[in-house]
Amino acid sequence: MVPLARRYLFSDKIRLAIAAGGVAFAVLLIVLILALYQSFIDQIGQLASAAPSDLWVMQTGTPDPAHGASILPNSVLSDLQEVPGVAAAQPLLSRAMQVGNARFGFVMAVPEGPFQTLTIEAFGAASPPEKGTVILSEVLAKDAGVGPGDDVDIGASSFEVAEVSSSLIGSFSVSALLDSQDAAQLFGDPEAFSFALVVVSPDADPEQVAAAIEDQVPGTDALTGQEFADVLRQEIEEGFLPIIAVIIGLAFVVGLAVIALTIYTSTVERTRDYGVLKAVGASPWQLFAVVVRQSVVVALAGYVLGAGLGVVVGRLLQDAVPSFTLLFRWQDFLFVLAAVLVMSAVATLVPVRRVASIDPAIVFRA
Amino acid sequence: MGAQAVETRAAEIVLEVRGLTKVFGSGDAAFTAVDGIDLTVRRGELVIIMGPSGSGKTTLLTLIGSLLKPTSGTVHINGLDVTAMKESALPEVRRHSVGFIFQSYNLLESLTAVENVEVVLNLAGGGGRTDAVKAEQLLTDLGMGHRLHFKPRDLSGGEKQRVSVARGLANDPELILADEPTANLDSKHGPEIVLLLRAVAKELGRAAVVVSHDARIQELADRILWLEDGRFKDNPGLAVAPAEEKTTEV
Ligand SMILES: Nc1ncnc2c1ncn2[C@@H]1O[C@H](COP(=O)(O)OP(=O)(O)OP(=O)(O)O)[C@@H](O)[C@H]1O
Ligand SMILES: [Mg+2]
Repeated sequence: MVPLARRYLFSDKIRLAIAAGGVAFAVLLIVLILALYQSFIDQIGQLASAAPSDLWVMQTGTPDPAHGASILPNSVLSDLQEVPGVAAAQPLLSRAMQVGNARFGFVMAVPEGPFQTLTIEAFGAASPPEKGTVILSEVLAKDAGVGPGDDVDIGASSFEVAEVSSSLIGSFSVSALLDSQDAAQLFGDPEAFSFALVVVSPDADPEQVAAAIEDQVPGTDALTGQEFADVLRQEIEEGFLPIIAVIIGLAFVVGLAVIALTIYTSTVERTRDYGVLKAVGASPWQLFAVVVRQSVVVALAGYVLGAGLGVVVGRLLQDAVPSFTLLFRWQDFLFVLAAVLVMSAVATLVPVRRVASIDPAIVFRA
Repeated sequence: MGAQAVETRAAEIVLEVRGLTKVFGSGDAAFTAVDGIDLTVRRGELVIIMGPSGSGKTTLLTLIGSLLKPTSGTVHINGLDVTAMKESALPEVRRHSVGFIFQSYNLLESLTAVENVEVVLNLAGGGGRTDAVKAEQLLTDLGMGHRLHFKPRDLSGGEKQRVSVARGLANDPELILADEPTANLDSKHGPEIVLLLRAVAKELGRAAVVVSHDARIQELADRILWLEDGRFKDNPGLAVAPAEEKTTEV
């Protein structure tokens, strides 16, 4: 079999390289954007699963810690104990504050109590921070340019970095864990906390207990871990999804345009060839196959190049910019592959029509 | 092949054209390029069609090769009415029944000589190594064994036309149509190509219709037809014009 499509494609190697490069660029962009997005989503999932509580209780109207500080009086803790079905209630202090020079982080603390549901292990730290020290997530530490033993400013106070944890939970991996008394002082009210993590008794239904809490403890919202994660996820999706969709859409159009232009110009240049092939008995479908094959090869070459570059560039970016966390999922690579194949199919529409319209009688014109 | 066999096969009609007419344009601009042509060509025959520029030679060949729909009239190839066929059935006819040879060769520049021949074999559904072997054999038979893997740009005109002949013969067509095959060749290589076509017609029992201005090749024809304003005319000036054949054919 004469590999006609390949011969046509490789007859102009520079054009092939530009085309594959253009598609690769589009693929690279899509792969990185998706990995960035998946990494955000993944961290939220970690938050919900790392805190093994059934319910999150917060001040009414402040479910999203990035946009509003929940402040509950300590009396709420004892009120919660009164609600039927509540087995334990653990306070959590949390506030979005500047850590180091500029970067915002979730500064948190877990007061010790009789019903410890959120252990220090859940934060990925070896031991609780002592007074005057802080455990920083890797991203925050890199951003602030500090390591164990260094001092870092949080609010008006300065803390010594006790530990840097790569798995310190909290939204977007930017969290700092303080001693609870330090935190209460820093936040300005020792009689208040932010969230209560509630464990319900084995025979109780979390949804019903949540309703009972909101009913019996005025000024609180109670969300299941899933609902709480959903609020945070929704936050990200509302902020990011439209942007992501636009970037992916533009990248798709760029890739499509590059393939379409390449295949179209290659087809126009070969008008006579296609006419000759028609004259000597090629069916339209045989000629379409030659066009489509070129398009698919360009697309796949671009895909392999772009996906490979995506992983490499992603690693480099992650090293250079700590907050740039990426999560590559095989589903996303499959999605991009499908998108690239759609690109290559759409790109052939105009060239195929062009081939169909070639009059084989041109072969007799000199 | 014995003389007996050639004679019986020569009786078979390969091409039969009746009342073939092509009008370009319409109304005042209408122009009749081919005007009620009748033509019969048998196995083993080499027919040369001559005529002034613009007389309709190429148009006639295009019609016979089913690359152009006639305004009226019929073309039968091997008894099959190709003018009545649907467009979708024509590739099959072009692939198996007709071999084309062109003035400007029309080789695919991206392919080597042997691939130019192989590619039309592939179209017929082969695709395996046998196509390549057959293409190599054909080119070798035409004296191109030493140029199999040359690209057209590295071949001389005469060599290109040989590749083009090999391609035309690849799918064993009964009918060979050539438009000015010698126009770009010198006085040595021009007649050589027509001699080749003549040998193909005689030895393989094919019918060949060659359009040409070229006086150098007249003597190679079994019949010469003179086309003028889309019609065949008697032309006493022709060097070779077997009178009795012409009256039976035209
Ligand atoms: N597609 C077309 N539309 C309109 N007129 C056409 C078309 N094709 C050919 N003609 C006209 O038909 C006439 C015959 O053309 P044709 O090409 O068949 O001549 P020819 O005998 O092959 O000439 P030459 O010896 O110069 O090749 C010419 O006047 C030409 O202008
Ligand atoms: Mg002509």
